[in-house]
Amino acid sequence: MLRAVSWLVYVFLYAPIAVLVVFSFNSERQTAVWQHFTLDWYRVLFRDKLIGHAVANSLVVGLVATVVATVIGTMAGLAMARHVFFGKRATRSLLYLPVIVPEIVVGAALVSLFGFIAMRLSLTTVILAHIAFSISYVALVVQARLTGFDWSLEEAAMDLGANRWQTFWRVTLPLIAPGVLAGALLVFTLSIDDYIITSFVAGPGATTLPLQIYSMVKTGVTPEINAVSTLLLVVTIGLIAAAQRLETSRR
Amino acid sequence: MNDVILRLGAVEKHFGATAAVNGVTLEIARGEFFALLGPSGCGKTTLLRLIAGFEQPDAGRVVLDGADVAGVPANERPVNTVFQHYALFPHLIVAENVAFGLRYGKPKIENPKSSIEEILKLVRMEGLGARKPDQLSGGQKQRVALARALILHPKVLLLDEPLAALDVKLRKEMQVELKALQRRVGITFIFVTHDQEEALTLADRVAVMNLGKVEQVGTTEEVFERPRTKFVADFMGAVNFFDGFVVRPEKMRLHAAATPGAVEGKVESKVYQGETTRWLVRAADGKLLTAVEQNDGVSDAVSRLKSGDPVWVKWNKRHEVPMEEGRHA
Repeated sequence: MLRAVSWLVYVFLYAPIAVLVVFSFNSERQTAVWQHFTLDWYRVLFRDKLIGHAVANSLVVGLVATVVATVIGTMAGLAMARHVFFGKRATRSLLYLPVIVPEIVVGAALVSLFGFIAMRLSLTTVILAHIAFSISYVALVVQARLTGFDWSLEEAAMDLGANRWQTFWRVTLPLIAPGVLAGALLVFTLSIDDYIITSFVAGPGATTLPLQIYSMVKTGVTPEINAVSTLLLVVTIGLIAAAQRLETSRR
Repeated sequence: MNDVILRLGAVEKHFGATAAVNGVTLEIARGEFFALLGPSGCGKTTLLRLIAGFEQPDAGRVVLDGADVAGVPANERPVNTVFQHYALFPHLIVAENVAFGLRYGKPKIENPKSSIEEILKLVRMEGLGARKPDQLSGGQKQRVALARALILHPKVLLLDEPLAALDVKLRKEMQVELKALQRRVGITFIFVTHDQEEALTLADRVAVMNLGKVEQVGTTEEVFERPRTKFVADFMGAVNFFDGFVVRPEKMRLHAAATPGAVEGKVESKVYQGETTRWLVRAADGKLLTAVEQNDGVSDAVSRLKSGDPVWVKWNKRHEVPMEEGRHA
């Protein structure tokens, strides 16, 4: 009985995804009926200029947001782990709040902020928004990596003549590198598939892949959408798996 | 002292309202093996960190080989540290750990490779240069930490509780080895310990610290045999306090029969300690006296005494160590 229920739960969880993947290889445009295997929709996809543009936008946003958010988030995580200061608990809570604040609120807030400072919505505003919601995730992952970190290692490096900068590059960073990389992969994953916040702050011509997919769905689900979603799925799962491996790697 | 390598002048360090180091003045000679001894919280570790440059003094002078280094950061001081838990870099192999400071070190080393081999040989770690720290035993880590510091030829080597992380047998071995190593390299060693026996075994001279101040400085024998304050006497295990003087327990002699000039009492308890037996005697006036007798294997009247038996305690007048006025409270 219990066994049957668990199977049902898994079917419930994964059936939609399975249907999506399977029908991305279906030769028939009508999604309901399986005809025979084809890669045609993937070929269509790679020739589609709109999708190509959206993928390029998503990659630019993802890469820039990843680099900037990883640097800032790592510094924040280090500062939180290293220093004891007045108001640390409050500061920490404020840093992690964006992880739980509803995306719809973040999106609305950002769009009113950009309006307030009279910043035209564009790809730049998308990048800024992605950086803003990603920093907290990096800080969290880096800080987790730093629990139990032996700070006397940094003192040892300085005792042996290294200045703060040399100590960071030769000792601290190599030791927290798996955490930093895991944070970076997480940011890229979050960025590449973010819809809600992006939909608020994207200007004309700043259509990212999720926005593009959504606008295509409005006119009916095609095998082309199945194909692009399947590719997105593969990339996301790959990145998350890599991030998890790094996070649980040898401390 | 004519050849002073380190001079501390009225050094102070406060953390908030508490004075961790409260006006310490010390002179340490070139080539000396020096111990900072005291209970936890006495300021010895803070003092070591002030010398290393991890902390900067709020007041006072830290003069290293004639140059005032107060305010100079740790990476610019010709001083190196062996950390309590060694702080070996876990992502680097032994040889890379030892070579770490060479690229920053003031003394340009002509042939780094051969000097790494040389120093590993000095600490008896030859052939283990390719190991990672987590493949080493506690004693081996200790040696690598020493090699990593000594390769830079520091003017002073600081050691923070150098043997505390080792088990008893290894600790005894490392004591002998550390002493021999210091003689061979001739570098001034300053180490922190809370273990009086370790201080006595390793050091030439000791500073006993209490509440951020130095209570007494002297050779190990002076501090052990002639403690000047009640705190030092107590810390060194001299527990028989009388009005104005103290007598060490091993200087007390027990007699099973009445003896002229002896204090009469009853055996309160006896604790067998292997080489010695520790006796607690309740004197007639209610005072508790401690005596330590060698277990020399001679079965005499004293060794057969049991709890409650009458006993006479005697000591030689010249073993009475006077306590400084006003400080034996």
